[in-house]
Amino acid sequence: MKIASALLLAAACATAAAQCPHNSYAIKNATVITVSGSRLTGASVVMCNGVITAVGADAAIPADAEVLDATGLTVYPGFVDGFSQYGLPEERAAGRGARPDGAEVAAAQAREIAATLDGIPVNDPRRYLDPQPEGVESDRRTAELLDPPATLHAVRDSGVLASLVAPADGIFKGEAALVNLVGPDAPAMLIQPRAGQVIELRPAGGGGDGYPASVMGAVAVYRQTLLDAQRLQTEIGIYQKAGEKGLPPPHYDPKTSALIPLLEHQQAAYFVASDWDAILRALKLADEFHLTTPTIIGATEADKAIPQLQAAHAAVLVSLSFAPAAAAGGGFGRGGASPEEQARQRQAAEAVPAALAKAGVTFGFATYGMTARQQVVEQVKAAMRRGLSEADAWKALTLWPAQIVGAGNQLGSIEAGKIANLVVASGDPLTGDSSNQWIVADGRLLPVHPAERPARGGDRAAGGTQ
Amino acid sequence: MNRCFRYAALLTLAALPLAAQAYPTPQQAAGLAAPGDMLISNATVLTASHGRLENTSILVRAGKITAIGPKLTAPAGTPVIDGTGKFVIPGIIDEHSHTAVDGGVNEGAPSVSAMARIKDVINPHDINIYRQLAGGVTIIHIFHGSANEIGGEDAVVRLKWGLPVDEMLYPNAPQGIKFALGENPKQTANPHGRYPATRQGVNDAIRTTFIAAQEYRRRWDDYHAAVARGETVYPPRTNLNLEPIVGILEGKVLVHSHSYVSAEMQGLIDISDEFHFHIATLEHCLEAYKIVNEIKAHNIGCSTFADDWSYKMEAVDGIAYNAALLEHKGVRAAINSDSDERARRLYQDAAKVIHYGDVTEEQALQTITLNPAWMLGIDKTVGSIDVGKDADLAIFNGDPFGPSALVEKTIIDGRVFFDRAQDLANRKPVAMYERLFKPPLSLGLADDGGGQ
Amino acid sequence: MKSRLLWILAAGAAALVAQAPQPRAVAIVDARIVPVGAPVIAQGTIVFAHGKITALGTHVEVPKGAEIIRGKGLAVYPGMLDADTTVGIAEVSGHAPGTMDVNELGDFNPQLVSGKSVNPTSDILGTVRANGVTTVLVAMRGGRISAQASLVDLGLYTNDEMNLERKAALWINFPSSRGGRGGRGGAAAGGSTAQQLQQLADYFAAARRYAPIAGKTQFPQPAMAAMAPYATGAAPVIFSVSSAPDIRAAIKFGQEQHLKFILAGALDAWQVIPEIKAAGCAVLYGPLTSMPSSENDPYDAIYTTPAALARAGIPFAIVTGSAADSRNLPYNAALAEAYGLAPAAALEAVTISPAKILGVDSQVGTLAVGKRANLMVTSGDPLDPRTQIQSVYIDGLLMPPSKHKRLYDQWMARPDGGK
Repeated sequence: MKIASALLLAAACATAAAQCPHNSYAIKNATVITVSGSRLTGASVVMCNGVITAVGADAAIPADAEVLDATGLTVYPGFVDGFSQYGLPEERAAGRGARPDGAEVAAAQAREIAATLDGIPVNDPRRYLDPQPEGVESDRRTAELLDPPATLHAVRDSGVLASLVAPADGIFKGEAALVNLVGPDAPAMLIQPRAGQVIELRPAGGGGDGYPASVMGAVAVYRQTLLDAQRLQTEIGIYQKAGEKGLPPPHYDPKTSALIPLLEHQQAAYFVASDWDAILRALKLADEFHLTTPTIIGATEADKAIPQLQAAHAAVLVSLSFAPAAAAGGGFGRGGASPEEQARQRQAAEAVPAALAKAGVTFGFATYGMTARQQVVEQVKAAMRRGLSEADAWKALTLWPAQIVGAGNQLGSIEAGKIANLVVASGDPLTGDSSNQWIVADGRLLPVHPAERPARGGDRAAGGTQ
Repeated sequence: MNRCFRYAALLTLAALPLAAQAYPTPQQAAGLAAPGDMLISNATVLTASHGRLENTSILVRAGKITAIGPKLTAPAGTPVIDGTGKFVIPGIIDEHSHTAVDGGVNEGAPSVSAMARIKDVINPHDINIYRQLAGGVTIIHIFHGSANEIGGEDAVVRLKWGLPVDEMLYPNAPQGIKFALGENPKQTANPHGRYPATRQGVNDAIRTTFIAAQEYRRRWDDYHAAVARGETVYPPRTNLNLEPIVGILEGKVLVHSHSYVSAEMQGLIDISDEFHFHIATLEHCLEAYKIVNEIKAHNIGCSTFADDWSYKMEAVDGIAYNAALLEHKGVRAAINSDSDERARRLYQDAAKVIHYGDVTEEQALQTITLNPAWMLGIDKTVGSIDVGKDADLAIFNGDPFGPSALVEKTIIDGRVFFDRAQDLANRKPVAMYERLFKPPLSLGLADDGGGQ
Repeated sequence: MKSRLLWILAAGAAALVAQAPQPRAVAIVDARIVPVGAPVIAQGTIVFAHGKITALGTHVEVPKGAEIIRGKGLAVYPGMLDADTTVGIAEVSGHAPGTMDVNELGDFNPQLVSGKSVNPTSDILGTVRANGVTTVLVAMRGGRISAQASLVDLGLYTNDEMNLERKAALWINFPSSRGGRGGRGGAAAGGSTAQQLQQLADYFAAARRYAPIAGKTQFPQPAMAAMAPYATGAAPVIFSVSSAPDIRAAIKFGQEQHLKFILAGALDAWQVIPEIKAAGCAVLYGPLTSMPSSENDPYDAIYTTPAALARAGIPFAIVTGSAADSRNLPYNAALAEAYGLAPAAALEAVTISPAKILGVDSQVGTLAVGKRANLMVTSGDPLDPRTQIQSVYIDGLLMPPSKHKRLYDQWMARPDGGK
């Protein structure tokens, strides 16, 4: 409903800018990096009810509009984060980046197993003939889990204003949502509440004692779960064909029911996969269930899989962590790389965006997997040092991820009709020394608090990655 | 002065240790994708099926052996390998491998994990593939681990280094599955009280699984019958954990069972009699020599180690003479590696079957070629040097069982996938490779990506 | 030297329970004799008595009353020496701690003597010896300073008789810059590599302070007393190391501490040949059945290292670092031979070279008059895996068949049939 109203408003505003009493806002005299078009100077951006209504040097500013004079400042579109856990409470956000220690995991799993198998004797064959998997959370809806923490402003201050969000844990992580990273409450944040299913073919417990405990077990769980969903589809078909009589109703298991939109191509499929082989595996298994045009999240070694990505018409959301595949693998199969090898892999990962751009693979950036010390802009600069052009860097931060997550009309550039997510900065963040001054999120002007701006430069600038 | 300096520089370079060559480029790999032609001339050929042939040539057309004999000629343009002084053997088949598996070789949580499939998690870029090629290995049988009495489905993989997984799977190899008896399934995951914890329990869980699979098959049979009668019914649920067991009952899936002590092997043989399926191989089977008559009567292959033993209690009665005894008594034995490391020198392990028990040269060779091919159900097309078979070959510098044997070339489908001369030529001095691949520590650690 | 009886056993285990026979000399006649370090005798005789070799050559008089063994078509080689093992102190390596006496608690245990608990009737020991390995260095593995390593003859009867040199060297798991365990040992002292090195240096310094009062003080400290010969450079220490940076660090440490030191394991030695050569230390290299340490290393990096050490003139031996796998010592040497080490050098690397490195070359390592009668009678080159080892003598005694051979004979005799 949010989308519909925004679009309606946009249409209304485009035809009659004046019809926006008391809710009009403008930035003037700015350098505007539109991303969709050319760079403008001395230009204005006019917004109404959270939507951009006009952009340009000659854009008419309504008389009652509140105006920010941005002389000497640069305005750019808020970054669209291809995947993150922003807006989720801590325990939902916990992915492999912040995993509890081994003892806690083991204890938690012991409890979980005990709960799952409650009442089933230890030697009951059901325990091994049809083991109950962990990590099938397909019926979990991000839209219902959103609970923006107070720290969300720090994310906005870094320039990230919208994101595809789903919990980090699980094989089927649940239904993702596309959200604006500004409150006040969860419903206000939603841009697209049902944005697709996010899947990762890794054991849910990180290789503990629960099932599955291996990647091949996770694949088996993926396969069994989708087969179950297909069977439900079949049952529904048979039941409807029979006129909903003569048979018991289909068994509407919530976890399998939730996957039917995915099987029927009404929802997008996202696969978290970092290293080369994980990417190839995800593409293959997407194809096994005819999940067309999957999107790969993470993709640290996507450059090595370019032919297969192209063949599958897959898009890629590259993690700005540039984490070595071995480290990202969490000790599975490829662990134990030496520091030198990890450094080499990190450098290789930084070169991936340029390689994808060169090959014409659709990609955008995601903050997923980034550490607390890493900063979006600095990570993008590392990719630029390894060959990513400035123009492509801008697009990979904004318009391309917006298009990949199905919000190309709503986000990712400074154009009339789009959601008013803007950053006002001193200087150009990708080419010069710059700091964010103001954030416009969902049409609301928010100051960047200097003390809360993430520290810049420091050891990274000294260390360099050349 | 200048000349002296250059000479010194050359010497320094020559004295530097060298680093390995890199992964094949897509262009290099493309040249290996289709089966090839070649003539190997004037070599000593150990056929593994009809003895040793001196001064013999092998002609290969489109990846198949088309002629074996003295003084063969090839059409113009056919690549020729001069085999003078060289020994050619069939490509080595490692019957028990866990190489190139991503993300854990065990789905060890449930005690039956038949739903897991090795084919889903093969990493074609694993360096061990290349290292094993360099030991003359052309086919590996990749297994699920031994944490469960019934483990996952296997893969028969050709070591086509540089090609994608799909092109590495051996065409038409029957599907196999891993069983495991004894200490490993007993010990795994027992912190949470996973049944079973005894050999008797392992035997029971396997029996129970077969009973469940029979029931499961009946449900599907009933469904198909109802559909045939025109009734409107829902299909049964597909249970991926029982599908492979049905495959075993229908003779479509081969059983390969990890086993140590003779009593547990006998117990599985009894189950196979009860449910009318055939056990393709007993794996490891260190005590197979104790029930060799029974194994022979059931036509089971024994895939064992050359001489590994005493690494756990159930291995203390293992003897290095196991394979020879089996061969002497008419049971086909294979020598496997079960190890990325050991797989690189299986020819030496096969020679130990001569050392311990004095089998013939051909029998020893068969333990790493024809016998594993037979165990995997692919011996009609590979495993020996015979006309019509795949040109999967290893060329040695001399007698492969001698003390100075090394592999010079490894050939699959008539294409050279390992060439020692090429490997040596492609090596880079370490100083250069450290610059290229090993950035200084300070640089790696100053970068704040990833570290936690 | 201990005196010992020479018992000649007619054949196999049956004779063991018979009345103890009188010591007799043994003469193996008409055999090809490969003494190592001396020219091969194409057809000759070797005589041993009272545990020692008394004669060998083309024209040797067989002493009266000697047992004569026909050696026609057979070869006689010196027994092999594996200079890095846990033979006799490790029986069932997995899930059977009661059979293992390898890792002690604590980081510094120089007072421990590895050979003290070698079990003369270990089944593993029997299979090792049956393959022609007659002497081993036994070393415990735990902590930082694991123990003193002992040279052990794999003969029969008592632990005491078997120990050739109980205190042959001091085993040190050198701190690893890669974290985890250094060398072959289990987990050792925590802290950074620099801290671990400092701890080790401090320990040696304390031992040197203690050395002058060792044996005199009323407050004896067994650990410090045990350190004295090693800390003062009188006896060798063995640094178990693997990576190139660690090898460099071990050399530096050994030189700074003025130790007589040997490198063991040393898998990445191929990267630091000049440094090892300059240090003048010996290398106990192996096992050859190790993987290259990085996937960027040449696939044959380990196999080719012995040849590289030989070319550089660095004294080295090939070792297995194992218990059960010690029986594969000759095949480790064969891998080195395949990748460039001359056949004679490969044989020396498992016989006389380790004997020299450990200072027992006057007793073992070659066939020569006056040396221990540690030898094997074979069908050919022991490094060739096809070769049959007919019999093995240690200190002049014929060794009984291994457990493997006994079970083989027992089940070969099972009649056909059954269920």
